[in-house]
Amino acid sequence: MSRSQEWVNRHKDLVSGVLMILVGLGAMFEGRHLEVGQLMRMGPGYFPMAVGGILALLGVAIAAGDIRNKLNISNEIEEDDIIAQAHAAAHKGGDKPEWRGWSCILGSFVVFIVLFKYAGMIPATTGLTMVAAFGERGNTWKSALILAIVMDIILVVVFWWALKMPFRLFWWD
Amino acid sequence: MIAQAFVDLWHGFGVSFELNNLLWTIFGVVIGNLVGVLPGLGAFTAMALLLPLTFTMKPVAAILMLSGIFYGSMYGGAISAILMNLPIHASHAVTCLNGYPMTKKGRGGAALGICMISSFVAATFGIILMVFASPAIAELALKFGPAEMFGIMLFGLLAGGSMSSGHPLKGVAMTVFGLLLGVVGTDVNSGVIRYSFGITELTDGVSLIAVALGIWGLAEFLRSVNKVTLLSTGAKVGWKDTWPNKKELKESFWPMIRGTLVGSLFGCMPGTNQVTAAFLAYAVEEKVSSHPEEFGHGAVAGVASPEAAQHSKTQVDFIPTMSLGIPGDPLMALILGALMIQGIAPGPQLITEHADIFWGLVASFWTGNLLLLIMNMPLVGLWIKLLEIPYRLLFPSAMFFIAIGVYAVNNSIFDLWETLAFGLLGGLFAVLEFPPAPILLGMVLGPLIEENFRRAMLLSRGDMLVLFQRPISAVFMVMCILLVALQLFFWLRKMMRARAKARAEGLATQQA
Repeated sequence: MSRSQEWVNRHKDLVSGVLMILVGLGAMFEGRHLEVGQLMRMGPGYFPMAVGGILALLGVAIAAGDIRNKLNISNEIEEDDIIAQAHAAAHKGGDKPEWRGWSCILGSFVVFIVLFKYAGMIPATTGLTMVAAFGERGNTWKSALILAIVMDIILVVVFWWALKMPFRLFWWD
Repeated sequence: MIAQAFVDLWHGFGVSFELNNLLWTIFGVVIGNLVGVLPGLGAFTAMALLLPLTFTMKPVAAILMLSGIFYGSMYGGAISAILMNLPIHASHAVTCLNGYPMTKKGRGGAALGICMISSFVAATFGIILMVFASPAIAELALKFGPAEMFGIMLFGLLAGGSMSSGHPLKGVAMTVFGLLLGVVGTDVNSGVIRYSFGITELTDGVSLIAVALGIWGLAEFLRSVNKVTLLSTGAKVGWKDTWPNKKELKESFWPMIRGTLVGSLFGCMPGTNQVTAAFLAYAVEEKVSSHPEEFGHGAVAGVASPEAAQHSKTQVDFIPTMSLGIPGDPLMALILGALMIQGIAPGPQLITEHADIFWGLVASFWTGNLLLLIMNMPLVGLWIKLLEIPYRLLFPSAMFFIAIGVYAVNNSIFDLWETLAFGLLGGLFAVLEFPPAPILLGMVLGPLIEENFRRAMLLSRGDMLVLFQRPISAVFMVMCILLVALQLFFWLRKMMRARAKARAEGLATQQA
């Protein structure tokens, strides 16, 4: 694990807090042109301004909590442990970064959007299923291809033929 | 009034037995059971995935199906918990404690049987409660003004945010983030477009489906990819094995009733979840049992009570959702979202204005639960087989259904990009340990809470104190304050304890 990852792991609350401050302030900045009005007659900007401000304040509190945490305070609740155990029971490998899986999942979605736009639904479905399948180490070219063909069949039979969804199957349609 | 409830319920059974509605209920509970058994897919993901399908359906059928997935998944989750000691869904973690020892003793099938029976009994009780409580609450709520509605919603939001698992402040922050998401789009009061960032598609607001499938679909897969263990069980359980014997039935009768009561009590509290209900029911049972030493070694009571508690909680959850339009958890928020997409406004008027939806739903709970009971006992063997479907085939298929489902909503490519963005965001939130559930609550309740707050302030001429002057809203505001105070108290106590522990450990090391 690289040093920056370790730092983030140790200061999760600080990063979280700063993120919330940014989102809150960002919302207030983006809404600066909206009319705020008064409490009695609120304009469209009143509520988002208030909510953005609250979010930024919460961010400050969360970040401050991180600094407190350095005083060696563990925040463990029994119930949380059980949830964590349940998660661990179904997941192996803990919180290790999973770059291959992550890039395949996000990539498969991008592939789907691009192929759908320029080549039609069947290439898009095939691309998405295969790229996503390669995210899991257990899949081979063969299993990925078979899965993609099954999904193509479902696409054509269920979504195109039965539900009559409006999309083109190939680029020449 | 009671007679009226029976007349309405009779009507509801008529609705739920219409062939179309019945078929969708069956579809929902089967899918629910399936995802309950499968690792890596939750009820919420399944509901979000099938949400686009509901656009072509009538509102009644849509709601029956979505709810069916919800309670169906609870039955499925018990199977892997009891037979394999695997709590794929957290609320079944307690069931493992005694369910798995029963499997080791060769009574796993019976444990499942007890589980199904107590689930059914608890659901029935929850439904009866819903029949009588919901119309009464809705009638009361019809007299509420904007100040009262604001108070109730604020309490719901605070409870949902701060009582979800993990860091309470982070939960509240996610609620507030959801409120911000709800602001995007055209302001109903002034017609001004807010936070569209110049994108035409955003003038209609952020898509609920994009958020749901991004955060519970894509982000869930990001968390699970290459990490789901392949499950396989040697246990062979047939139909005959699921019949508990007389002694087991007798031992589980009272725990079943007590669990049901605990669950119903929790159902009335927004923000608490099935896990809490199950835990508490187990703790109660261990206290009152005359053989507490059996707990953890295959006590039937330890299976019956928590299972009953989570099922009654699940049913009672629908009461605030249907009678007030205030969802208690993200699943309920999604169901309300589905109603809104169908053009039906949730709120106290729902029960009278859309009687067929409400009473049809109540009746379908009963038919659905009965179906699950009948279906599950003989099909247990089949469900166990399904556990062996590898995740590596499951999740790419689910990705395809997400993509096509999102596209189907508006036939828009923009929605796909939106889903991807929320998937990334959801992944980031997961890394930073933000609980995602409150986002959806905030997003669904956001526009309503803004609307009611604005109206309340307009009526009171900008006097904030009105929230404390009207009795009902005052009660809820005080409850909000108590909630925050309680959270602060728990936090302080935890800190003191941790500090005391650290000091004690420090002393111990010094002495050694």
